[in-house]
Amino acid sequence: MYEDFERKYRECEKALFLTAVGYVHNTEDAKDCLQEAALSALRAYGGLKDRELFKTWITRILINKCRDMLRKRKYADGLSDNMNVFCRSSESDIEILDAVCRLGGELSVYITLYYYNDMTYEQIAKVMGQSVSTVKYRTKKALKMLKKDLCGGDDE
Amino acid sequence: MNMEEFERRMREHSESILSSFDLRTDIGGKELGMKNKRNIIARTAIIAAAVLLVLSSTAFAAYKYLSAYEVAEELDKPKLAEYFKNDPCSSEAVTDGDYRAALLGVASGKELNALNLGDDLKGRTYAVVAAERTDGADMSYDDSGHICVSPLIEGYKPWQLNIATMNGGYTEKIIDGVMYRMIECDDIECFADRKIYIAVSDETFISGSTYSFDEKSGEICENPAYDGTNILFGLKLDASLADREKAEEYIRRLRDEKFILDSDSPAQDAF
Repeated sequence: MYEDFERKYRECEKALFLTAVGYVHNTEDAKDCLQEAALSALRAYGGLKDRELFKTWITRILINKCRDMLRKRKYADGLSDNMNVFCRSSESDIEILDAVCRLGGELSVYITLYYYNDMTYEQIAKVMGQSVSTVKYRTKKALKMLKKDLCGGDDE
Repeated sequence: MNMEEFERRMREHSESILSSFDLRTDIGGKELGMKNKRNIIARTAIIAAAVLLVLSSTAFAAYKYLSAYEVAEELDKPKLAEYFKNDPCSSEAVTDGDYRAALLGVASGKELNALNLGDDLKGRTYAVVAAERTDGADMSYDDSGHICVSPLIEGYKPWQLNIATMNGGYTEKIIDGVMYRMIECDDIECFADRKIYIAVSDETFISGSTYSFDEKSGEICENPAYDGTNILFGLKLDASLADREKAEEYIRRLRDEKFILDSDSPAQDAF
């Protein structure tokens, strides 16, 4: 069972990490949240009936860990600390990730789930416990804000 | 760059960044290492919700819909949006009959007059409600035309004291199949020592068929015999905001205007 869990976890580990970065805005806290989520998920893995839902299930656990983390401190504007993990990433990729982190409130999570985790609106709705219409609205809104931030001008 | 090109750029960025960094978090066998973690996660108390569910057929998770802040922004009410941003509250979504609804927020303010229902109207109360069809079809403006959203106040008959008699009005928008309605009425804070409700029904007007009124206690409840949507969300207001003198003056005015007819109602004298 452990091998099965690890294989599934490793498949989505990096996307999950970016989700956590988008949420807590720094890489060290993101690693902590991810590790906490991985451990919680491993302990509960035996009870997961439908293994096909692994990704949405562990993403939900991760988001709860990130929310717990953010109850202790305020949001930081943009990426705020040790970026060694991204030393091989291009400047433009870092710039976009930084802009994702600058999105207010929880808006960044819609971008990280939609793009980095390649989730559908329906999957994000399950993860976030929201209606599909709410997820569509917020994802589109986040994308417009991101485009305005990165490209300037009108958000259309 | 148009939106389509930008979305394509985001896809490329996603592939690029995912392939350009290494990460290996500890799991399972290295669990002991967690004791050295930099952060200890402490759960904080859950913030008490200001909205109570009076009676529900089926309750869904909260925060399912857009927030009252987002709705106010969509309806181009920036001043009101700030109120909702600073004081977020949300009920659980309730399914009853053909509709599912949730109360997204309530705000009162002396300087608010968002819907411009009249220059002389100062000190207004606002509530934002989401409603959608339970059969999965999108809400249409035909559907929403049948939906009534109204404040109700304990001690007063729902069909006498409701949004129509409280100088009320509403504005709404259907977003991705969900109706978001903002209602406005006279300030209800002066009644804060009574139970205050936000009613959502599929009858165009509030009547005795949708909501029951106990003449002795002044209690308002959903009429169980009604075969449709008649939801009540209870508001938990700070009782110190109550102003009995102002409330009595307000009711006196409504009686003068013949909106409230039974001045000797025992339910009203009970408070």
